Amino acid sequence: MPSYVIPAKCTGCGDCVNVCPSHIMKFTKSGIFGRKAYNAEPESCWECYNCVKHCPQGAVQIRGYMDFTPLGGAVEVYRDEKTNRVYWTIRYRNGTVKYFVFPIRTTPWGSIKPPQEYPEPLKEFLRTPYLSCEHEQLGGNKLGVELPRMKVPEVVKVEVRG
Amino acid sequence: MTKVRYVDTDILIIGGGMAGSGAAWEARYWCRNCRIVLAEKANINRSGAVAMGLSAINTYMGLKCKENTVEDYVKYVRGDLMGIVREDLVYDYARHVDSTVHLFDEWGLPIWPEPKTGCYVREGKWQIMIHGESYKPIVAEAARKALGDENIFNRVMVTHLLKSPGNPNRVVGAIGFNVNDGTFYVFKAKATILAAGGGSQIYSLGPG
Ligand code: SF4
Ligand code: SF4
Repeated sequence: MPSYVIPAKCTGCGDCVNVCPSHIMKFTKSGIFGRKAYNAEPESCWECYNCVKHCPQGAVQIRGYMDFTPLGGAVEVYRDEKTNRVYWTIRYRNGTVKYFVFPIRTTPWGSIKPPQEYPEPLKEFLRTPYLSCEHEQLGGNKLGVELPRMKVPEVVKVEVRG
Repeated sequence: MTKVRYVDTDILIIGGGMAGSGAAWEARYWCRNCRIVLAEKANINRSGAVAMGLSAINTYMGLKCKENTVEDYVKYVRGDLMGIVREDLVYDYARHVDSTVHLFDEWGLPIWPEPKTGCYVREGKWQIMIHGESYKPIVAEAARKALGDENIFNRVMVTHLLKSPGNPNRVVGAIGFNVNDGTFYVFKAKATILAAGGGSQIYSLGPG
């Protein structure tokens, strides 16, 4: 079932157009109600639900189109990045409605520590078989591969005599 | 009149799916002063084969809990594909899977924990269960932080690799165009990482 924009709810903000990975969410020509988004190629839609999740108006449904499966089933999704939950509403054609809630993330959005905030590795570590942070993430040298620890070696003091 | 933009960079990553995002993270970890740019034909937040989310991670060794070894995995893949595999390549990706999954866990991907053992809930010998609705946005956040949003070119479809005139085996960049406004892009790069996935529309449901 492809996505369908309910024109009366759509404000034309473009979030769905921006996010659609298939590049098939398009704007209509601006009419008296302003521009509206619509799924320009339902047969190419891969039903990823991204337009549904990203629409701030809840204007996008996944449902069978009238000419193909006019049966009344539909799926709506509300995704909340504040509470980190995704809420699913499944409407069956016989009127049954089911709701599901799932967590989407365990940390706040924007909290990832970027790679440039890790201590800079020595260039010779590029020759080791490990990726970034891998040694630590595996809890030490578990694969039996000899590897220098990802620490900058201490400067050896040289005593000058005489 | 088509606009042309030239982008000079140290590292060019083509494709902003899971592989391209991972390459962005890794490249920035190892090279703090490089200019790294990424060209993606959709929006990196929701693009590639993981755009819609996943409910499981299909390969996780469990080295930490001694569930499997990398060698077990290579044996399994060899049996599954009736021997027609490059074992070295299978080994090579398998040994990196665990640490990557641990990194995802740290970033906030909800992986089902197994409270008794401190490992993850298994769905099969190699699978672990996740609430993966936001799998891609989480990984994309890491990539965006690594490169900076100004170095990510969304909606740019790369069509050709540029080869060095002196050495036809050397790639020195790529060209592409913005699918919205047709702006033509010429990327010149010292190194190019091709992470562009499979062919377009070969499978009806896929990013191409
Ligand atoms: S479901 Fe996915 S592919 Fe289909 S229109 Fe929406 S965003 Fe695009
Ligand atoms: S995101 Fe929703 S409101 Fe905005 S253009 Fe798309 S359908 Fe309309």
